[in-house]
Amino acid sequence: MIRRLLGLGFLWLVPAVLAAQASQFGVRALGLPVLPVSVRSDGMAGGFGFFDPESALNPTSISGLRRTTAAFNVRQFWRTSENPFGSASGNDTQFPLVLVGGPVGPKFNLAVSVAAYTDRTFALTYADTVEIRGLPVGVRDTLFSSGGINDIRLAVSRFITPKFVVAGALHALTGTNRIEYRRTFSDSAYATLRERTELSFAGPGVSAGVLAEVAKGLRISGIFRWDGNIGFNKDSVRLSSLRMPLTYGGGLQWQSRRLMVSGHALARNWSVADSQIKARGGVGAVNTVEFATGLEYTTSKFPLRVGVRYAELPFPLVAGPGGHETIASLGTGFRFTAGRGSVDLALQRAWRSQAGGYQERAFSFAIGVGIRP
Amino acid sequence: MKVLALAVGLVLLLSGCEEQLTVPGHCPEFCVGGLSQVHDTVIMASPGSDSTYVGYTGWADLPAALASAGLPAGETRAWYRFPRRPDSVSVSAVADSLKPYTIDSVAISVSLVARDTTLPGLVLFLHRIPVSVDTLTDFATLDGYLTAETLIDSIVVPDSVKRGPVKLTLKGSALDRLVFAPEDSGRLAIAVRLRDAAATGVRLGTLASATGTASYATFVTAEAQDSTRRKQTLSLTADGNGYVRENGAPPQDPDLLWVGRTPSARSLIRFAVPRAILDSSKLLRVTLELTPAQPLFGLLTDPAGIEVRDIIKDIGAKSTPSFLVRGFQTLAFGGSEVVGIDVMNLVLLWKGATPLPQAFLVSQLPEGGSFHQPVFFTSRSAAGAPLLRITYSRPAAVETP
Repeated sequence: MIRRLLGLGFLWLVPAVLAAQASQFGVRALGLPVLPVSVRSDGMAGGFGFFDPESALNPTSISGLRRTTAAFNVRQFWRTSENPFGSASGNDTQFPLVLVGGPVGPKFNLAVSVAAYTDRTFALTYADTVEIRGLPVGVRDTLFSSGGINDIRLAVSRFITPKFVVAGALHALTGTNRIEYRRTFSDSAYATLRERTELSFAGPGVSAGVLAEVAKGLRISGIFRWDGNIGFNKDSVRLSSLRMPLTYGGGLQWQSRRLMVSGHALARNWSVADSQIKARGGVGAVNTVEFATGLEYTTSKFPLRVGVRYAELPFPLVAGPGGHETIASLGTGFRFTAGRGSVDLALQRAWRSQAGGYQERAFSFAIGVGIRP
Repeated sequence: MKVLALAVGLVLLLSGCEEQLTVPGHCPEFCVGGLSQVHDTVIMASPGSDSTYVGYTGWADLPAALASAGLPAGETRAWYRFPRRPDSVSVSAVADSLKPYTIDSVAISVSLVARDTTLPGLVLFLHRIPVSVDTLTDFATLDGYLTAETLIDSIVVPDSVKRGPVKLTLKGSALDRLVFAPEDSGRLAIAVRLRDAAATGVRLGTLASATGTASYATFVTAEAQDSTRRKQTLSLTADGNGYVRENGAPPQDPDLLWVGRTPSARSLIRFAVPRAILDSSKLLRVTLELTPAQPLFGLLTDPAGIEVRDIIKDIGAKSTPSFLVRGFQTLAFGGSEVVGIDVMNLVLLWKGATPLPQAFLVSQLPEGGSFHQPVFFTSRSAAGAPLLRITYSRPAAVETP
């Protein structure tokens, strides 16, 4: 019990606001969706996420936790963004997932996780000339946004039979988004304009899933998730709410002695929020699907993981077809102290694009630390 | 455990990396909800509520006395009056040891506060004037005293001397020019004027100035047995000073705004800026614009300026100025261009829970003893009324999901 409490206490050490990628594709609406998976799954481009006990994508996957586990991820991104107005390179660090969980009795498993759901961390700069007092004055605008929506999940799984698991989870979508708008003038007689706004989000959600071993080494799983309207406040003033999508998907895993292959497909009907976003001056939202697959080949202490993922992005930067991303990944990891500790590493290459000349290429390096006291 | 510690260390190292988030953007494609719009508006002074009040810096606080010749800013003459010089000196410590003396030489010193440093060959002419001259003496009267007969001598000011004391020494027959008449009661009064070919002026030290006022020292030989007591110096510092100005009449037209002069004038200008601008906008620049009613003349290389302050409570002439922040603008030399003073920091104090009155107290710096005598149009003038030019921005409508 003390170990579990210590594990839960580990959550308190984590910053309340988790973040994902600081991407130009996160400037619209709720931002850039984040796949809540562990670094082990990252090494397989998320393809293992449906079955990974240390990921927060599918509540049934926590049934794989054999003992109390605390897992913590960190990612470092290096990206190059291009759009019709220029290009820029940058880097940023994120903490996409923290999970604590383990078995509670012979049939039940319980896990609490905090994961990034969407991310609105970005900084945009504009340079222009405006006429003030009859004279042209150069201005430079910077819009800096930090934060996003986090998904706090309490998941419970139950073994119906040793080969069939059902699970359910309660979700709380919460988070803050700090926005700072700064305008500087080429004429120093004009004061720098600085505005700060804080958006806070809150919304409920539930999810359910099933996982079954249908043949030796072959498992399938399916999930369904409903999220209620997410309300958002601006500087403590309630603005309104936004309809959130239904999420449904399925996964397949095959495992032999040395090789494990898995993958999943997910769909979300983000278009339910389209009219609301457009009514508020945004571009809108489109339905999305994503596919991920990966394999883990284990011949030594260091397994080899590779994977590829394709995902559509729900919030177009400009009117027209939405953007999409393709990710290829490579990873490994190792266990030590009789499996009580683990370190996983993943290197990813991402390509994001949208019609109109919006592109982004990024490398990310992720480290995941797991402790099983 | 070493591996775990290494991994945690690597995590911390990554999380400590400096972030670079910025990507280029453009409107309207990337203007997330629209950028801030800059607005420009003009708020005229409240009609009929701007006034001039006189009597702030008086003659007793005069920071400089003025002397000029041919200056477009106006003809001025400086004057100094010294206390009574004793007619005997003490030659021993015992009583009744006062003895008469004979004068060996006299040194008169005045202090330069400012001069036109671009003009070489400055010469100060010192005249003997009646000791009855005071701050009520007008220009014509004092100028009438400055004749060849009253000329004591001149001081050629080296071009290298920009400020500080300059001295005139008189010996022998020149001392005859300083002989006191009975009505002088042992007192000396002098006037300083310039007679340069080129128009110029000087500002000279006074009792209230940091450089000190004029002084004169009399070097005497007393009739004393003790040779160490024979040579003595009688040093006197002016106990009165001032200047007269040909165009220095006090403010008369109530439909103009006056600042400066001696005694000095200040102008109170009131505004009524809408709360929608003060409270719901971000001020980017606020400029108080004053239109001169006459050309702004001063002394080249000796700038004066307009100082603007908030007032803590609006009680007219006795309104207490706020010393938290101020606006200041150096006055141009010549011309009648509009004087613009950035006052945003002052206007910011007009908003908030305890706003200051929407009024400015406008004064000249230095106040009193300046060649500049600005006069501005008022809200009652047909044109050129004081105004606030406000550049502000409405809050940006950053996109909400």
